[in-house]
Amino acid sequence: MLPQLFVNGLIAGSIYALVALGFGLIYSTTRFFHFAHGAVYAVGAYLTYAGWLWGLSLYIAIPLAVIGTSALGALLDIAVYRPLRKKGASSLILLLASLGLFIVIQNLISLIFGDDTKTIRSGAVTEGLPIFDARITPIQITIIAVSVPLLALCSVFMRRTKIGKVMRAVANDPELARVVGIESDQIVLFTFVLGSALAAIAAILISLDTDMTPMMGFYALLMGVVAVIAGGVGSIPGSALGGLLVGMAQHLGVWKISTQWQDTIVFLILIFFLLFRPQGFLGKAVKKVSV
Amino acid sequence: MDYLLHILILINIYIILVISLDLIAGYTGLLSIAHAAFYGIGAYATALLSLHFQTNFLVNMALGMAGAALLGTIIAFPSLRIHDDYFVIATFGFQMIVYSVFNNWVDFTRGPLGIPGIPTASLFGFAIDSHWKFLILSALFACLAYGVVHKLVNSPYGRVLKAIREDEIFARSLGKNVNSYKIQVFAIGGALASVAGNLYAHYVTFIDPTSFTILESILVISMVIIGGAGSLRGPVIGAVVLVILPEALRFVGLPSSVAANLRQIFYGSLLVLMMLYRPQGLIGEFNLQGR
Amino acid sequence: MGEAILTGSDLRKVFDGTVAVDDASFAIGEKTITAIIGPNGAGKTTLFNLITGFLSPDRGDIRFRNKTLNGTPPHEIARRGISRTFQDLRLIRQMSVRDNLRLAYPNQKREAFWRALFGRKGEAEGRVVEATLRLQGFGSLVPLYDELAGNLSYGQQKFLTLACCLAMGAEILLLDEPVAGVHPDMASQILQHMLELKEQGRTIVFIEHDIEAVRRVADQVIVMDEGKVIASGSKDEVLVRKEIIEAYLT
Repeated sequence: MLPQLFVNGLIAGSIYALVALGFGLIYSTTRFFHFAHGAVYAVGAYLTYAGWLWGLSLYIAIPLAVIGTSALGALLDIAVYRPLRKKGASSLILLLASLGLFIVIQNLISLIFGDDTKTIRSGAVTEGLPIFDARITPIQITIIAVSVPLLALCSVFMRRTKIGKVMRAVANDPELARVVGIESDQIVLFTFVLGSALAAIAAILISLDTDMTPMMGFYALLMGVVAVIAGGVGSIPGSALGGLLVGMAQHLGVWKISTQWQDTIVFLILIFFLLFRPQGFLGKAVKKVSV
Repeated sequence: MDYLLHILILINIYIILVISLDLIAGYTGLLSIAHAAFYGIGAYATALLSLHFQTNFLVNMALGMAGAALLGTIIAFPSLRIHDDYFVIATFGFQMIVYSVFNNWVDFTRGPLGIPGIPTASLFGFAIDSHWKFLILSALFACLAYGVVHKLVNSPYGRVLKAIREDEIFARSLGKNVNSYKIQVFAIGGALASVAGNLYAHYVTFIDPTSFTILESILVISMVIIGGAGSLRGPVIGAVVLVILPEALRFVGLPSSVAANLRQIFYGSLLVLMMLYRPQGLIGEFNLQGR
Repeated sequence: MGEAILTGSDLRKVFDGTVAVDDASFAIGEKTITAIIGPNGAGKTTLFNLITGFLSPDRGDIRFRNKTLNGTPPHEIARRGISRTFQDLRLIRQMSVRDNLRLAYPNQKREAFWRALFGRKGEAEGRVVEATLRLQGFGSLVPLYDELAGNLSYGQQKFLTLACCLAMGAEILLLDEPVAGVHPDMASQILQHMLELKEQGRTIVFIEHDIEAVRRVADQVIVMDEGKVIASGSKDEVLVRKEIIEAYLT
C-alpha cells in the first residue's frame, strides 16, 4: 500500500511542481497572485483536445496547444495586467481582476466543450508495470520522465542564461531591478509565457493519465497556491519543492486518513504555513508593514 | 409574477450577504473570500436542526449565528499576523476546508447528496408557505441586517473600523485594540451571513454543498466590489445588478447550462472591467488603493 | 529636572542583521522637553518604536512611572498615557479633521459594539474634545474641521497629529520630526505649542534634525549614533561639546 501511495504522491507532486513553478515565477516578478493561472492550465489540455478532434495527431496537437496557451498567458498580461500595473493598481486589484479572468476563461471552456469529461487518451487502460510493490503505468512514467528533466531544465535556465538571471534579479528585489533599469515589462511578459507553457504541459500530462474536465484548472490552482506558499514564495526551487510536498502529503495522507479528506489535509497545510511560516521552506521572510 | 417574487427574494438574501461582507471587507479593509462558508453554516444549521430536532427556524438561526461567529473568530486570527494578499489566500484556504467538511462529512451532512425536505419556516405559529410571505420575511431580515450594519458603521465603532482600514498602525497608536476589532467584525459579519443561509435553506427546501463553494464567495465579493465597497448602498446595488442582469438571459431562451455559464462569464467580465476602469465600484467612495 | 518618568535601560534591538539600538539607556524627566538628535539611521525612531510597543527589545527594560512597558501592546501603552507621532506622518487622510480628532479621544463608550448598536446618538464626547482643543490653542484647526485630513497642507497635517496626541489626553508626547519640512511660520507655531504644553505639565520627547528648533525648546538633549547613546544631559552641556558640534551640527 505505502509504496503505491508514494508513487502516486510522486506523480501528483510532479504535476503540482510544474503548476507551482509557473505560478510562483509569475508571483515573483509581478507580486500578485495570478489566479487565472488555473484557467490557463485547463486551456492547455482543451486546446490539445480541440486539435485532436480536428484530426491532428497528438504529436502535433500538443506543441500547438502549448504555444497557444503561452499566447493566452501573454494576452492576459498585455490586455489586463499591464494596463493595471501602469495605473499603479494594488495587488488586491490585480488579484480580483485575475479572479474575474479565471471565471470567464473556465466558463468559456465549459460553454464550448461542455462539462463532461473529455479524453485524449488512446488505447485501453493498462494495468501498469510493477515497481517495488507498486504499479505504474507507462503514461505515469512519462509524467515523471517529462516533469523532472523539465524542472531541471528550468533551473539551469534560471541560473545560466541572461534572461533567467534577470528574472531572478527581478524576483529577488523588484525595487532594485527597477532602479537598475531592467525592462521589467518585457521580463514580466516572458514570465507569463514561460509560466503558461509550464502549466499547459502539466495539464496535458495529467490529461493523458486521467482525462480532463473544465474544473480541472481550479483544482490545480488550489494545489499550486498551497505549493507556492509552502515551498516559499519568491523561491523558484521552493515552488517545485512545495509541489512535491503537496503531492506527497495528499497521497500519503490516505494511509492514515480516508481519501475524502485528502484535500482538507492540503488546506490545513496552507493555513499552517500562513500562520507560522509564511515564507515557506525556502522563501525569504515576508516583509510586514514598517513603522 | 411568481418569477418576479423569486428574484426579489434572492435579492434580499444577497443583500444580507453583501452587507455583512461590506462590514468586513469594505469598512475594515479585510478582503475575504470565505463568505460562502458562513452562508453555508447558517443553511446547514437550520436544515439539520429542523430535521433532527424539529426546532423553530429562529432558534436555528440563533444557533447558526453562534456557529458562524465562532468560525469568524477563527478565520480572523490569521489576519492579525498576515499581510494583505496572503490573508486573502488564508480565507480561501478556510473556505475550502469548510466546503470540504460540507461535502465529505457524509454521516453528518449527507455530503454531495444534500439535504432535502427542509420544513417551512414558521413564525409564532404562522407558516411562511408562500412566495409572498417569504418575500416579506426575507425583506424584513434584509432591512434588519442593513439597519444593524448601518448603525454600526456610522457610529464611533465604525470610525475605528475605517481607521483600521486606512492605517492600523495609526489606530493602534491612538489606543485602539485593532486585533479585537478585526475578530469582532469577522464574528459579526459571519453571523449575519449565516442568517442569509438560514433563509435560503427554508426557501429552496433542498441544500447541497454546491451552493456554498468558493465560486459563491467570489460572487459575493464581486457584488461588493462592483457596487462599491465601504458604502453599504454600493454593495446593495451590486447585488441587485448581479442578480437581475444575468436573469435577463433566461428570456433569450437558452438552455439552462448555457445560461449558467453565460451568467458567470457576465459577472467575471464585469469584475475585470471594473478593476480596469472603475476599481472603486459603481458608488465609489472608498478606493481599494486607499493606502 | 523632575523625577524620571520614562526610563530605558540597556536596550538592544537587532533586525536584518544590523544592530539598530545598541545598549541604549535614557531617563526622561517629568515636565521636560527632551530632544533626540543624531544622523539618519542612528536608531532614534527605533527607540520610539520600542518605547511605544511597536517593536519589542531583544534585551533591556523600559519603564513608565517605574512600571515596565516590556511586552505591552501599542494600544495599551497609548492608553496608559504615551502618545506619539510618526516620521512618515500617519493620519487618516480619508476622514475629516474632526473625525481624526474624535478618533483620538479616549474612553469612548460608543466605540464598543453593544453601545454603538444600542447607545443613544449624540456626539457629546466629540464636542468636549473640540472645546478643550480650542482652549489649548488649536483654534486654527477649527475652520478646517470638515476638511479631509488628506487635503490639508503638510504643516497643517503635522499640527493635526500634535492635536491628536493632546485629544488623547496623553501625558507623554513622543514627536518624530514635528517640524521637519514645515513652513517656518507653522514650525514656529508648533514649537511654541510644545513650550506651552510643557507649562501645562506634559512631558515631551522629540526627534529633530533642525538644531535651531532644539536650541529653542529643549531642556535636555540625547545624542544617538549607530544605535548608541553618545551623549545625554542638559541642552547647554551637550550642545557645546566640540565633538558633538563637529559630528552632528555642521
